[in-house]
Amino acid sequence: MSALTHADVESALLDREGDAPLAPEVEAHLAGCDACRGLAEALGQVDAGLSALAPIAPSPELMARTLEAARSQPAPAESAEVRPDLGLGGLLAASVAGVLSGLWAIARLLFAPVAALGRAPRAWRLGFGVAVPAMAALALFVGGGLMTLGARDEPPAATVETSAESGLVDYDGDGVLDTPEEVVNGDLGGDLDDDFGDGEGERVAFGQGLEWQQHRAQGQLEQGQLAQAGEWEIDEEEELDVRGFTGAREGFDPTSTFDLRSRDRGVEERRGSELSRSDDGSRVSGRQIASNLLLEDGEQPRGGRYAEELNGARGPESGSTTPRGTATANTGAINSRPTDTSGSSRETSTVEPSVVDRQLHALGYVVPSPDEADALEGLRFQPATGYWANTYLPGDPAMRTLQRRLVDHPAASALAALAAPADPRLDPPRQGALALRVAANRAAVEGRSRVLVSVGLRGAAQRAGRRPTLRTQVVLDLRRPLDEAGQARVRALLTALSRTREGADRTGVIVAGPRGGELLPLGQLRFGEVSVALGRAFDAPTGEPTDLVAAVERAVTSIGQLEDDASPLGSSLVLVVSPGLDARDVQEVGRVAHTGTLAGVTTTAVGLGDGGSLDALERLALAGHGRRRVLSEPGEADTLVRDEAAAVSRVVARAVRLRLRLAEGVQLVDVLGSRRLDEAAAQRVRASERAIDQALARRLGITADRGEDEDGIQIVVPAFYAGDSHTVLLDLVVPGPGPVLDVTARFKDLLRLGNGALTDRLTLARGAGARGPQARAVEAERLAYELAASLREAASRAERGDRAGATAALAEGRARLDRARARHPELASEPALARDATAYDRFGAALGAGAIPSDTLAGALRYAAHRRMFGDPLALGQ
Amino acid sequence: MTTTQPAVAETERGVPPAEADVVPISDRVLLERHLGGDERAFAQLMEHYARPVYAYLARSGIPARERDDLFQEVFCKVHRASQRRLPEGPVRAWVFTIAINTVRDAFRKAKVRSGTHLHADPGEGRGADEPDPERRAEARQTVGFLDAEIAKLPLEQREALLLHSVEGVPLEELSEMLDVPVNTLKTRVRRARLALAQAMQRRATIADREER
Repeated sequence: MSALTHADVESALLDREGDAPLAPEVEAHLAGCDACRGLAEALGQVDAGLSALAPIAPSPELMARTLEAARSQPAPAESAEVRPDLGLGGLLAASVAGVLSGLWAIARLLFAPVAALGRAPRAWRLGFGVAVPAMAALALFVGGGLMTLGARDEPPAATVETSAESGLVDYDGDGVLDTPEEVVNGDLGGDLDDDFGDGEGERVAFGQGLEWQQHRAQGQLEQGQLAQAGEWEIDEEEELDVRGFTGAREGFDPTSTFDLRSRDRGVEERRGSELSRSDDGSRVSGRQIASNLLLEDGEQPRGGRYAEELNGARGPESGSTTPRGTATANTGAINSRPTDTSGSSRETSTVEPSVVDRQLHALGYVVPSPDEADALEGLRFQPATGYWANTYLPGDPAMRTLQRRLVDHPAASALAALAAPADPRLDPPRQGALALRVAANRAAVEGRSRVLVSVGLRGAAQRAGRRPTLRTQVVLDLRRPLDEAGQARVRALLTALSRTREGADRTGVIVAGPRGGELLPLGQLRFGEVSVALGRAFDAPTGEPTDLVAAVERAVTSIGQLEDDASPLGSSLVLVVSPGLDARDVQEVGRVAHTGTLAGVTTTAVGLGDGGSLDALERLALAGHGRRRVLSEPGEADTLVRDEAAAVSRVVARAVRLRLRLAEGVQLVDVLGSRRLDEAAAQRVRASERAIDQALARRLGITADRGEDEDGIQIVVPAFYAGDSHTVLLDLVVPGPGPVLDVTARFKDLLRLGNGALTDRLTLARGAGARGPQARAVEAERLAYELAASLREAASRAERGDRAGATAALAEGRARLDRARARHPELASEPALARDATAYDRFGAALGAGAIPSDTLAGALRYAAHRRMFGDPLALGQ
Repeated sequence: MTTTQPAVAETERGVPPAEADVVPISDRVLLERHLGGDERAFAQLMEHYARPVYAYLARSGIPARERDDLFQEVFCKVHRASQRRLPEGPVRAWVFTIAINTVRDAFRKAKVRSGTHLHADPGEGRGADEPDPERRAEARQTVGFLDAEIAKLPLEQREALLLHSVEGVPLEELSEMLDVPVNTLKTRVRRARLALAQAMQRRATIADREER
């Protein structure tokens, strides 16, 4: 048999024109392959049959009847639409006439004595009567055209925000973070977990008079009771892997301690490590957050001081709004979402690197506020066709980091927990892999109206199977030297990989860097091998310069060669492990990752430490159909590896194709959070979808049914995980009551091993009735985004030290919420909105009281916003 | 790939088929005359397109009881539209676009996507030319089978297959009509042909089993 695959031969047969000869290798394949030969014969029969299809003619009676009906129709009325050829000329003619008349009349006025219009000659009055409206029409015509042109050039508005996120962390990552409504005396409930990896227990004596206690989110937190700086020693040998400490002391700023604790960078800074910037200055990486923590004996660490040393500007406590230095500007550029998210981005200048963790950002985009929600004027519509970006990405490492930041501030944690997580309002499917639901924020309209539509997907709770044999290629990004903490993370990761190895798993390591190349060949990754290899890599590196793209290519190729149809899709995995990826990395490595998906190889992005961009990880993971993870602490490595290994069996549906088709007359304002893809991106989506389609046809016998575009908005989600929920929000204008849209979700159901399809439709009744539960839920969803936006705005202002401004932002948000609830009394019964109101009030009170420092409060605000918008992924069992 | 039949052959009686992007002169002349009030011109135009449009309606899966009404609707629309102004592109594309949209509307209203397959006798077709009776019967069966399977195709594939592979509309012209990229249409036609071929293979397998 030839080297061609069945798919290649199938393509050749389908592309063949008429009786054109086939390529020799295709003929050779056919000679030896019964299946393909059978297909060739069948295609021949089909083509012959299509040629032989009988003409089907209407009866003579039908012809006569039709002719009569056509002729008896009334003559069509003049079209109401302006025909460009006639209308434009007419308008121009009127405009010219008006101008001339006007000029004539003005000229007569100028050169004649002033006379009452009533005594003016009739011709003058006529001139005025024509000139004024004609000139107005001309002005409108020209002005409108200019406005249209201008508007066309203006990119769609989008708010991009960056944020500092902090919050409670579920330390080991595999438990539900059971956050109570209020934190009382620091007691979050739950049991203390003694397992910190070394089994040494909770308390780590650390320096004179200072006890450090590691806390888990489920454990006890003490009120910020901290050691005096004078008694505080940072033992360089100790791993600053702590989250809290106890011991009642005075004179310590809880905020500073919080900062110190969350950053655990003091040791490195003592050695004077610096920020590193990319060549073009657009990316600052490294330990930019805590990079300048320097402690002298007797010195109190302060958040403001960190900021000063980092940025050369004043700290947040000073209340200064002076823009930070160069790092700040760059931070804005780094952390903002790329412009392809929704056409443009507006970087907030309020990003404060002293608090902002560049790896975190909250997704912000323009959501019509309650005041604007019904606006119908001045809208720009988008074509409701083509491919749109998938916004579903499992896992959310931001939540863990958010939570870590608040772990020692029970009061702030309590505030953050006020934000009610988004409720998917969609039960998991009873059968099959997915459930689909379409709902709108109103059930009835009278006429042309603005409507927000929610399309929800929910994955089955059941997992698809046990963990398969995995083939994993780790790509270690050592283009820049790793410090001890980074090395410790890598060591922990590879050790965890060696520990979780099962049976026939194979793992290899490739290094990108000045001394790169294959560090460990694909094999069983024994612990000893890991130790020796890492010692070599960090202490005495050998090898050749290998850039990141080449390393990933090598990884994808080596893994791809092992792909076979007997293993589940997703069991070939590339882990790109990097302390920081920049935009160019993402673009170039993303291309390789995408190519990998065509060969059934998944690429997951792992950030080493908290210094990298989450956005970069997310984009790479989306390109590679994988996950994005952050390894902040070595102790998290086991959980990370376990989650990653289990991910394959957690996929319940693949190649989920959503088609959203608007009814006639319905116009699309936006698909919130998404963007329409250009043809190149759409091609990649198609190719990936087809690859999954073909792979599952071969491996699982699920009939291949992809390869063509559909009308309407198309969104393709490569993989959907058990228990997850995802919502697509559409901002629409409907002409009136009637059909709004229909939604089809086609997917490869891995629970039933077949093609699944779900449909749902939305129709609006006539009337102005009160909202039912579903409509209230969608409206509440929109208001949730409102709240999140207000919280983020308040956080930004708090980070600048502008507590009054933060309070004002919250008050504004509260007022909008109140107006929405007043306008729609039926929303009063929504418990989530009642909690939102409480959140506004309590945050506002906390800002006014001053007991909680601004940075901490900002962290709590960010966390609350994130939790409100995205829910709590940890609660979904990830 | 199927041999395309130049769709203008029927309209260009005795005149070599024009290229795909050239408007058939006779159709345009007929429309101009119709616009000028010549009632016979519309009747002639209707004759040119009655069979392909009716066949398209039938093979799209429109049930027989609705087919005649839709046929009438299509040509009433053609009549009305042609009284306002002439189409800018090929007349065939314009007429078929009206037919396509009419079929889509019908399905949308009926919320039936796959349609019903033809129950009516598919006719002798070109299989009638087969000298061998057995082959003639086989050809009829194949044609009938194909008609049934075509009706099961997704609407988009059905449209592309019927208009391109059966009616011979070139892909570039079809792309203009359907406002769909040429590559997408190619994929649809491929998928449709593949689906039909796989159906043929399944039928052959079942027939083999039954014979045993």
